Amino acid sequence: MAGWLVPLLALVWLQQPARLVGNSPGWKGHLRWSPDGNQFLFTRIHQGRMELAAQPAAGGDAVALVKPAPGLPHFDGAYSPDGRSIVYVHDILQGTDGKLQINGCKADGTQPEQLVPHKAFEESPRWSPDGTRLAFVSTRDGNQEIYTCLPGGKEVKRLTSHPGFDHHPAWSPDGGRIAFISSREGPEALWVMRADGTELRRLTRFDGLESWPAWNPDGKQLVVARNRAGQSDLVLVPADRVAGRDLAGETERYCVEHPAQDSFPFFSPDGRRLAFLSDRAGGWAIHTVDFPAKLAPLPARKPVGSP
Amino acid sequence: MLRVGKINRQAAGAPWVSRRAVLHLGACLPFGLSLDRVIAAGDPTGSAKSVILLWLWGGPSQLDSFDPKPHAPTDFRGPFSTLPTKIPGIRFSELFPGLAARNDRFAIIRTLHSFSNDHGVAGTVGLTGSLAGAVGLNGQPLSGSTRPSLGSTVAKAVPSHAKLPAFVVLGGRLHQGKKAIIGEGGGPLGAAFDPLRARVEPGAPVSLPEMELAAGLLPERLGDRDSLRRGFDPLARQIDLVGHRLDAHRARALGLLTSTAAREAFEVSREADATRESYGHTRFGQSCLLARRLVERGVRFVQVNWSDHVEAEEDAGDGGWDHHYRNFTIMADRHGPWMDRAISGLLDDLRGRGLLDSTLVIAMGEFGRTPKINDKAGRDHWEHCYSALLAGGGTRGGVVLGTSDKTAGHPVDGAVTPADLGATVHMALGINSEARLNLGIDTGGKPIEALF
Repeated sequence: MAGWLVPLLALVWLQQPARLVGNSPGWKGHLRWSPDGNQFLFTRIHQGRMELAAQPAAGGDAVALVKPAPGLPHFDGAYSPDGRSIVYVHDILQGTDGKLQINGCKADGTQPEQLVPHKAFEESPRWSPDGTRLAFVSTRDGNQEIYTCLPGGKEVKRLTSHPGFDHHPAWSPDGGRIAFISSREGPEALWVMRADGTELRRLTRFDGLESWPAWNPDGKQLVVARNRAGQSDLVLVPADRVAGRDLAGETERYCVEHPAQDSFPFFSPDGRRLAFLSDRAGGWAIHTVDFPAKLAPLPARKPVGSP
Repeated sequence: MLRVGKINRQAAGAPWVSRRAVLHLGACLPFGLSLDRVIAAGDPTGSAKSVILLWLWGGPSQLDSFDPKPHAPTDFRGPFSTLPTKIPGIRFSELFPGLAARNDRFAIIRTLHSFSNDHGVAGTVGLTGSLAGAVGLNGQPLSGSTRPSLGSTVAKAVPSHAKLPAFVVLGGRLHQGKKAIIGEGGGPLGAAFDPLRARVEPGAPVSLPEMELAAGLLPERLGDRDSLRRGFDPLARQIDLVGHRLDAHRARALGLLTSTAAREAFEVSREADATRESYGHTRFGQSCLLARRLVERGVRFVQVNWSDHVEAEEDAGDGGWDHHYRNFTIMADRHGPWMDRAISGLLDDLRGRGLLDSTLVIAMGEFGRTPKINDKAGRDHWEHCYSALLAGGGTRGGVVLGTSDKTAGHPVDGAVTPADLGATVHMALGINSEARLNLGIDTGGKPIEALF
């Protein structure tokens, strides 16, 4: 083995993640860890259906969550802070089109009901940490913007207003801020704002397409998926950038880096594990790594997409 | 492993073949015909021996793939950045870095245009080159007799010397809503030129649902069954009507089912893990890998259907490209990376095996999508201007044909139609205009000679 390759591999293979073998090798997304740490919630394409599924964190098969089965696509679920309910996107198919609305159900999948009356294409619902408000994405004002509302859809507040896309909201653990992805300055990058929509700040300025940020429960760090040169990895972003650090010269720090597609990060409730979805080792599965991981800046490398 | 219908090797031993099995078998027989009487036009002398059509059902966005407009207003260009490619001045969407790094091996046509914004109609046009007989959402067929699909015309015009069928579709029937579209089969050429279908699902063996056999029956034993011979009788009458020889059909069908090599052609699990990985563990990716295995073994035309349905959320597989809503989320999370990886893997694999020069690869949908983003974070149907990728089979790499306007809404120059693409495929395979006319497979298209 070439001498230069050894340190490179040492950096790339920071930690071998644990793989939670499931019974469904198809695509998965929108991973969530239950507040009690016992269960994962995710979207899957399984036997011809896009649906929410739950899988024990200790291992075991995934099962469809919503009961009775809606018979319609439903996806992108999130737990309430007390773990007793789930909010998700429900897609009412109409011919070859659809209509997205926000539904909720108990954590065991029973009693599904509409939570936010449909006004446009609503998605990515997320409970605030105190369980009083719901952040969501809607096209009700023309393009994707981030809003909050009370359960039932009352007291809607528009937080963002820009011709670019604003989506993938994630509440900070203290509920004071919302991280999100925006294309308002060109590339899809990680931004943060106060929960009232003020003090917008761009957190990353790297090449690549970023998506699905997740806060560490300590509120000090975020992890975001970044597709760079066809390879999606997980990047650690210190939350103190919110305090206004200059982004110039910032070094990329990967906590999960692999030629496979790694995305949809989410922390365990105690912040000591980071879960993500990956198609490494064949079909899509949940993987977990200890956190904090050994982190090191990676040297420039040949993009995976190169021939 | 290959799953031929419901064969259960563990329960083998039942000494019979069901009539249903025979009829299913018969339905897929004719694709392997030698057709030597039909090929009066002579042996092909084209630059390509085989074709892989990657059918992106639902209609991908030209702006979010191969014809981005980074200087267009935000509500046209969308959230994605662009990447430089190997060709100076040519940029792709950032979702396709693998293909951007390989576009010296393929051509992009940026000015395809079709004649309908209805999936059903445009699908028929895309696959047959003609509006005739197409049925859209209103359920009313357009005038004229449905033309055969491109794969069927190739199956008819080019003799196959393999034990495998000449035309294979990987994926289920194409649907709009609950209705199967018109134009995926032989049409006026007869059912003899319908494709053999195989289905690929991640984590499961490839299945050949049309060749469903009785439980317990081993394909190795089919050739010994008198009942199988009797089962061919009605098929023989059907085949005689279209002027082919039963013996050839029987031999080819039995060849497929009883030949270990033929069956193994469908077993993607025989590929090295690294090879499977390079295509991606999606239905489309593994279907592309199977397509390579099939052309490698002499199949003339393999059509890979990305999905059965146009809708992204409803489809039973990877989800179609009909992104009226959530276009950018779906493209970023799923379709962009999956397509980039699968086609990059296919091009690398074909080249590595010395097959790219003789295999024409085409990736296209039935139309494109609206330049202006709608109020659902999506793009709607747009037949006026869209893109296609063509590689190998004697075509030139590193070229972009046609220029679209500033929002990729209309061709500025170099507009071509699906019929032109069909004629181009024929030309690549050495099927000249006289042969097309003689065989009844001409739809008036003109070969795109600039591709060669």
